[in-house]
Formats: sequence, structure tokens, C-alpha cells
Amino acid sequence: MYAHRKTFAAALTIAGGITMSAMNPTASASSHREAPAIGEDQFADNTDVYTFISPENPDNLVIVTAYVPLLLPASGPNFYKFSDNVAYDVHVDNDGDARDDIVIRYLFKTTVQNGDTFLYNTNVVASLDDPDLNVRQTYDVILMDKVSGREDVITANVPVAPWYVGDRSFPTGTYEGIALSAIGSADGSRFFAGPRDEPFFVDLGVFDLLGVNGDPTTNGVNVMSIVTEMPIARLSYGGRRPSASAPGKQKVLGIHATASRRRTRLLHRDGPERNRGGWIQVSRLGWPLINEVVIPIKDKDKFNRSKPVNDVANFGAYILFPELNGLLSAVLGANCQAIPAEGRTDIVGLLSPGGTRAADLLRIDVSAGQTFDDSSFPNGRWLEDDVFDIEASVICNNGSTISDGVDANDLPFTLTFPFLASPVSGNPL
Amino acid sequence: MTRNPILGLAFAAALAACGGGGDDDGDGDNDGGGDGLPTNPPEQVEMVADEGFTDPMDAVASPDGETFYFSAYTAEAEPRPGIFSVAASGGEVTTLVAGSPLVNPGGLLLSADGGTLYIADIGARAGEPDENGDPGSQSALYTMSPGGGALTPLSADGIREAAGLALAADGETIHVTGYDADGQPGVFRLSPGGGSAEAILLGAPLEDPSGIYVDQDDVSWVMDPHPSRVGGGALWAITAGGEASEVVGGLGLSEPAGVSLVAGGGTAVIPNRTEDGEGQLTTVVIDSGEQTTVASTMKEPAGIRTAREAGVFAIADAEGDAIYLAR
Repeated sequence: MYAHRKTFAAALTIAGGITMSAMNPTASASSHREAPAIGEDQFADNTDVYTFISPENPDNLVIVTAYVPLLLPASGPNFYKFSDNVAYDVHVDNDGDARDDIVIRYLFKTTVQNGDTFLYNTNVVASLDDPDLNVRQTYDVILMDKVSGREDVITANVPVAPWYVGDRSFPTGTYEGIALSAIGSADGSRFFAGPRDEPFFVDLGVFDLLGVNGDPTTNGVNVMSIVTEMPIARLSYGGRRPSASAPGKQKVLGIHATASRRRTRLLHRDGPERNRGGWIQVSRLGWPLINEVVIPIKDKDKFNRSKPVNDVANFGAYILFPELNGLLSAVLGANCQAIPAEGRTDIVGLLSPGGTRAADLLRIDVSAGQTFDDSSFPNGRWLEDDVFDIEASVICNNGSTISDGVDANDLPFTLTFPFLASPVSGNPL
Repeated sequence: MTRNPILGLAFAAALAACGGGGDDDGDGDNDGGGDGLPTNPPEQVEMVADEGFTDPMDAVASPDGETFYFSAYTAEAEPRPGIFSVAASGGEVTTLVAGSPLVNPGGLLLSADGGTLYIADIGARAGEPDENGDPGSQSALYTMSPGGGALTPLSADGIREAAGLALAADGETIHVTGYDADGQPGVFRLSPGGGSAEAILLGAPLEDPSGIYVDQDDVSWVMDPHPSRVGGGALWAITAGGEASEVVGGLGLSEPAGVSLVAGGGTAVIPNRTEDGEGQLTTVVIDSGEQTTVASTMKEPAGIRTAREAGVFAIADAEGDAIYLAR
């Protein structure tokens, strides 16, 4: 496992750190099934967002967005995929106002080669265009510059990596090569979409009365993943990578991901559903764990339908006075520092680096000179960042490290695109 | 492939091609040929009703603007789709018809004399079994009396699903947005008594045609939410010959996505949402492309239609569960 940590996480870790596993404390998945409405809409559930400067090319930014949580590898015969009826969007704010400047949309389409079989694949699959790969998906990538209004389909009909059905369908050692052949490229950008090993690591036992035992409960499951690598200049203010001396609002990009469904879904007794109308945002994620453990139940659905620019007005009180602070002390005896009367303005500060508008955006400094080694939560988020420990420690704020006892993913990440670990086989032999 | 969804002023060329949009009667104004009809775009929006129904979709006004008719669901534990009426001045909402065979009546039209309501039910698929499994009993279109009573299926061969309705320049022919038997989106022409529908335009650039208004030059003004676009929906001007030009794009639209012109023509009125999700009306002067917005307390305005002889508009606020009047 690659370790390049510096800055924030390290700064938060002090000698004598408390581990939650030792004191039966708490944890949570980043944003998996985190709100009532999205809990009923698995294929539009945005679970995590990561962004970091590419370890392969310091002029590129990588954005990883994960959807459809906690997928059992042996989930046939109708294996998981992206929904053809969901718009999967990546949003970029490049001038610090917490409003979209760039939107990258992924739209998927499923085709079935042979509808007369129940099989996902009818024999060993040797390539993405193997006739025996029966169920296939492709996607288009649309980029909209909200400032100019220009909208481009930057690549179309890119294949989605297939589900890792098992080692009979993909004899041992062949799956990853086929999956990586699904990488698309256009105009200096790279794209990948498909199932990967769930990168988020945590003990989900937290929801059993805040108790965890250090069990890596997200090991062994997959998640549908979209990886975008794009030149920083293309995403930045004015179409140029900001210099190190540029204003903070231009040096720092704000990233978040959403999923949207069309307003009306019409079911017919004897045929496929029809979806009509414009898109309605149903899921949203910037920082990990915000909607999971900061926003209360009554406002979770509202959060998923809201925009970051309104976060202070809508949800500011929950940031200033996080419930988790009191729970850690009252339930777990973590002896967290009491929240001051004016609230946790320090957390608000973390959500507004460089003078940007406070909002739940995953912000990252992309100015010249910044490299992969600088990409560490909350300045971006690398796959290995133990964000639960970081956020819980910040919220507790007593100088100790709060840990769920799960400190790393079970499978290693790579330093090459698409960076995520290969998905878990549905039928390992 | 590049799109410019913000403002496609090519609509001016389209209008020139069909001879519309100018000062047709030589009186110095651009009224689209509608002598004597009100031409002022709305400047204010006020609520008419917000009780007795939920989830309104489309709304139309009687010719004199005194009565509004709208499609919505009943305010019951198990809501039924229905057609309702309410005085434009407010008051109690009357349920004209509710329940089967209606499924999702998203489009309304009132005949020129105000004597017949036409209903497009986008939830139905013409010719297929109904709720009870009776074969071939679903209809995409219905008619009924504005006073209430039973629905009468209106045949429309060639249209499998109907979304929006508008009255053509002759005051009788109906223009319909929807889908043909092959699932192709389109705009169709249909006689008021039903029969075979004639396609005016099928397929691209339309994706999901919704609200429609037809002006005095038989130009169909069609809203499309354009799900393949990031930036939002658009208004298209489609000539009688099927030539389409994008008028304005980047609009946050509801379902249905409504559009009306002022009664005398010349200005399009489009319900939409601001970037921050607030309901508003956007007016577009057809000749110049000049846009103005009218703020409102609406949450997500959907269907809209002006009164034929009065300067008022009926608007359904789909998310606000309310009917509004604009003047």
C-alpha cells in the first residue's frame, strides 16, 4: 500500500491517540445508504468522492466517484451495473463561489446481445467485444462549461468494464486485463467506468449503538466506480492552471458528485418503464460522512436534493454544532472538547479554504507546484486517507485520534489509472 | 459535437422561412397577426388555489380567463388522476373527473369556443389493455365537457403516447407532442374529431417533447427537457413543414414542461426554475430574443396556457401543489 501521507492527517494524529475499537466508539460508511429516500434508490446512491493530482501526471487531476453501494460479488444472474436512467455528474467549482463552473456528465446505455438466455455471459469472456459477453454497457461523457454555456460530448460509446462474474467466466488472471481495456481517452483525458473493489474502509458495526470492533466490514464487496482524469487546466478558472501566487479562490477547485433521476417514472403493466421530464438531483456528495453523520434524519433527503451554494443557510447549524461531538463523549466517554458557544467555526474554515465560500465540496489546491504528494484529505482525498478517523478526531477535538480500528483497505490501490483495486470475483476458484 | 444551449437565435430564420413573427397586420406592432388579442407578457404571478388536489401538471384558461381547468391528482390517501376546475379569482376546486381510465394526464387543451376539453394522458399507451386488462382500451387522448361528465376516447392513429396539446391557427386542428408507434418523439397534426395523425416532425432534434403552443402562422413552439444535455431544456420553433430551430435553451424545466405565447403572439412565456431552484416565468420576445424573468412564489411551474381572449395565464405549479394566475 502506498503511503504518501503528510499534512492534515498527520497533524491530527498525536501521541496517545484513542482508538475507538478500544473504547467501543463509533464509525460509519462514507455515504452508503445514508438517507431515507436514497436508501430506496440504490443505483443512484453516490457513496464516495475522491480527488487527487495524478501520480502519473502532475498536470492532471483525478476524480473518483463511486455509486451503488455494498455490492456482493456473487450477485447474479442480474449483476450490478450503472442505471441507464440516472445522470451521474461530477461538478467543479473553479472560482470559489460554491457554484458549478464545469459539469461532467456520464450517461449509460445497456445492450443485451441475446435475450433468450438468463446468462450474463454465455461462455468464457476473452475481451470486451467477445460475443459471449451478453450484457454490455457503454457511456457518453458530456462536459458543460457553465460559464460559456458550451456543451461538448467529449467521448461517446465508451465500454463499461464488465462485472467480475467469476473465475470460470474470466479464468484467473484475465479479468483485470479485460477491465483495463475499457479505459477510454479523449483530448488528454482518461475515463474508466465499471465495478471495482469498494475502496472505503470502515467498521459498519457503528450503527449497532455506536459500537465497533475494528471489523473491516466493507472488505469483500464491490462498488460501481467512475474515474475521470482530466488536465487541471481544463478544469481551472480561465482554462489555465493557476499559478502558486494566484488568488486562493482560483487555486482551489471544489469537487462534488451527484446523481439525478428524471422527474417522472411511468410504469406499464406489460412493458418497460418510461422516464420523462428534466433531471432531479437525488444524491450528492463532497466531503465524506457529511450526510452520513452530520446531517440529521429530518434533513438528509433535503441535503441530497440541495446545492452546495446554499449549505450554510440550510445546514450550517449542523456543522457548527455537530451531534457526533456530544455522542462521542456521552455514549463513548471520549471526553471530547465541548463545542464553544459560537460553534465549530474551525470546521467551517476547513470547508472554505483559500477564501472560498463555505460548502460541502471536496476542495483541492491545484496550483502549479502541487503534486500527488500534496493530495491528502481535506486537500483533496486520496484513496488511502482514513477519513473517518480524521473527521471524528476533528469533531471530537480533544487532541486525541479517534479511530474505528480499521485503518486501511484490504486490497492495495495502484499508482496507475484507474487506481482502484480490481473488483472481487463473484466465484473465485 | 458541440452544442450551444444558451440562446439559439436561429429561430429568427425559421420564422422568416414560415413568414411569421413580424408585423403581419401593418399596425406597427409585432402581434403575430392576432388583431385585438392581448399581447402583453405577464408581469406578476399570484396563487389561485392550493387545496383539494395534489401534483398539478397542466393548466388552461377559459377564453375569457375567468375559469381555469387543470390536471392533477385528488387529495386522497390514494390519489387518483383527474381533471379539475377553479375560478380564476379563487375559491373551491371542483373535481370534474377522476380515476380510471386516466393514468397521468399531463396535457390539456380547451377548444376555441371553450366547449371541449382535450386531454393527453402520457401515462397511457394507445391500444393497450387498461387497468382491468380489457384489451385495446387505453387511449392517449380523451375529450370531455368542461362542465364535467364522462371521458370520451379520441382516436389518434400513429400516436402511441401523447404529452402536450395545442390548437392550430385554424382554431380546430390539434397539434400533439408525443411518440409514435416506434417510440420516435415527434409533433403531430390531428383533426379535432380524431383519426390518423400526421407527423409534422419525427425524431431529432426532439428527445422528449412536452408542452406545445401553436401561433397564428402554425409554428409549433415545443418544449423539450433534453435529458442528454447537462444545461437543461430548450424551446423549439417548428414550422408547419417540420423545420426546427432552437429558440432558447439552458432552462430548468418541470414535467410537463409548459410553454405559451401571449394570446396575440410575439412573446413566448416559459415556466422554469432559476439556478437556485426558484420558480419563475421567462418571457422571450420572438423578434429580438430579449429575455426577461418574472419572479414568483412558485416552486416548480409546469404547464401554462394563456386565455384566448384575455391577458391572463393559468399555470400549474407541480411541486408547489398549486394553481397560479399570471397577468
